[in-house]
Amino acid sequence: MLSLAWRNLGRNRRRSTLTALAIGFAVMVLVFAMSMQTGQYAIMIDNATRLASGHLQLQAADYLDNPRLAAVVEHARDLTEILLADPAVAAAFPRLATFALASHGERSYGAGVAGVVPDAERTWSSLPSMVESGRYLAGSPDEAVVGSLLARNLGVTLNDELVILGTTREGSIAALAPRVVGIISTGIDEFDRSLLQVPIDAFRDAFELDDEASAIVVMAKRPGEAKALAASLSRQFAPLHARAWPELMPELEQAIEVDRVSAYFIYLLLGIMVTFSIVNTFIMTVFERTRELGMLMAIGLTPGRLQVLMQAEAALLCLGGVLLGAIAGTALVLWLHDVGIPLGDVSDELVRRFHMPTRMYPAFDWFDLLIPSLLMLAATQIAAFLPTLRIRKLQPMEALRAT
Amino acid sequence: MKGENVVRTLALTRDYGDGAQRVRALDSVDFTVDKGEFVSLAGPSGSGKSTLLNLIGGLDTPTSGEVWVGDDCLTAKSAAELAHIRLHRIGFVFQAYNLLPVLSARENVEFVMQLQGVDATERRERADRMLDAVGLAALADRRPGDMSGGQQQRVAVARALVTEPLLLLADEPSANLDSETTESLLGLLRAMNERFATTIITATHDPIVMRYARRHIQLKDGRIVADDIGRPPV
Repeated sequence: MLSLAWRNLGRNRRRSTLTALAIGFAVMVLVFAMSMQTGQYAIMIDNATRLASGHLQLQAADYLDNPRLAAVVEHARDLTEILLADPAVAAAFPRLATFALASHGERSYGAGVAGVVPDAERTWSSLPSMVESGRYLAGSPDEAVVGSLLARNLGVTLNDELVILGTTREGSIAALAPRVVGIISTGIDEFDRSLLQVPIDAFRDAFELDDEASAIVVMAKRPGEAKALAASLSRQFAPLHARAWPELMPELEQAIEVDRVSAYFIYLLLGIMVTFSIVNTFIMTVFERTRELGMLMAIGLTPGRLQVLMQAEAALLCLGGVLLGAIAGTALVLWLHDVGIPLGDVSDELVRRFHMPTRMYPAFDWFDLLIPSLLMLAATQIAAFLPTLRIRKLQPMEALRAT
Repeated sequence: MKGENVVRTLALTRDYGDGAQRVRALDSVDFTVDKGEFVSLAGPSGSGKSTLLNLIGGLDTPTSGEVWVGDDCLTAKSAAELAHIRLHRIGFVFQAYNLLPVLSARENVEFVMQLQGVDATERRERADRMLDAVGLAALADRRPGDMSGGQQQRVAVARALVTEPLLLLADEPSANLDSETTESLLGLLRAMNERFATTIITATHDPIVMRYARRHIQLKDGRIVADDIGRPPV
């Protein structure tokens, strides 16, 4: 039956080729579009995780709901060493964070003060590359970098002294007086309005901490497996809790999901449009071969088996198209993954404001190949099924009389 | 039912159309055909011979009456059951050959056996044997488009007979053939009829075909007007 179906496709080679090419083109477009999306999401996730959270963080169990200095990770150095020995971990480094009052002269503003390891941040965080003026922290205990809006609000410039006043875990006053060595502009007002970083040792001294961390930031070797790694680390380090970026930044994951669902809706519409164009092909096939279908029924083929024959023709036609489209789409994606797509005039603004790359890079994912292929297979089967419903009603004698 | 009857019709009637447009194509036809008979159904256009043939083949449904093929009453069968009977018990030869153009002569002959579930080796052997019997062994790999009308009709006969059916129905098998090819084809059908005791019923206008049949049934206005049994062989 498959052999007959295959040969039947050769009867009208031009029509079969055009239909297969239409299917292939649709698959190629879908593979490309989905890979672009995947690439775009990867950039968004990379930007967000490097800017703030890392791929995951090891925290005290209740830190996320109630971030405070009392909820810390003890023995941060040892834990960091253990994490670094994990083959799935690319980097691990501690951060301390609290809310404090930053003052300069007469002005005081609230700030999210972070104690960081400058060397690690320089390697893994994107903040050091966003220094607008001055430089990033070099490791000296009396240095600080400040968000651009906070600097403007406080009226500080480079080399000005800041006074930071906070509260230790025990409730006593913690104070630092670092010199501003750099002003950072992330382009995100929320960040730039509260960003204030000092070396972690200076933070510990001021806030009477020893080897504690608010979180140990972990960068995974495979960012896509951050959730699995977090689950594994949570089991390993209980009662501490490892939280992957979707838990730390749920709004980012939601934004990606919303975008993904709306894109899938458009892909579905494309699939329906292609289905309608293929339906016509199969209507023509059934009408052209009515007499032959009658003969096949006369020699003993049931309408059901005739339908199977037509569906097999559709499946083979689609497989050919899908194969073509998948190969072309994959080749296109792999090539563009290397060379990138220049963003043109919009890129300057994106680079300046959001630190996006000047080129977009599609990312190849088997899922992005599988979904369009399955979608088109399903679309073709539906396209073939609708006209072949006529076969069910066909009487052999009437079909044999068809011209 | 009588044991030797291959075909039996009881008050077989077929009307087409409704109301004032109603036309009676077959009017209460009763007849039987025994195993091994070679019957021609003759009559002018519209006499009901093709209608009768289609009803015997289960390709059409009677308005009233019964058709029996062997032990099966076709009138009571579903479409799937009729397809099964056609596949296993009835061979068809059509006026327009109706071969599958994308298959070779051998594959066309094998196709029905494939539907029956015969294994590939046996299919090939039987197809080659039958093509040899119809004189087309040398053309087994040719497609219908590369064969003459006579050759295609021989392939159609081979396809119809390869499953050793109880009954072979041929509707105007010589309509598109010249007289020489018709003689050759009819000789073949007679030989098959004698060799395999296959019951053959053919609807025809063609006097050559009628000459080869041993029994000649004449239809007019949907009724049997003559049934001449026991003609001597040609």
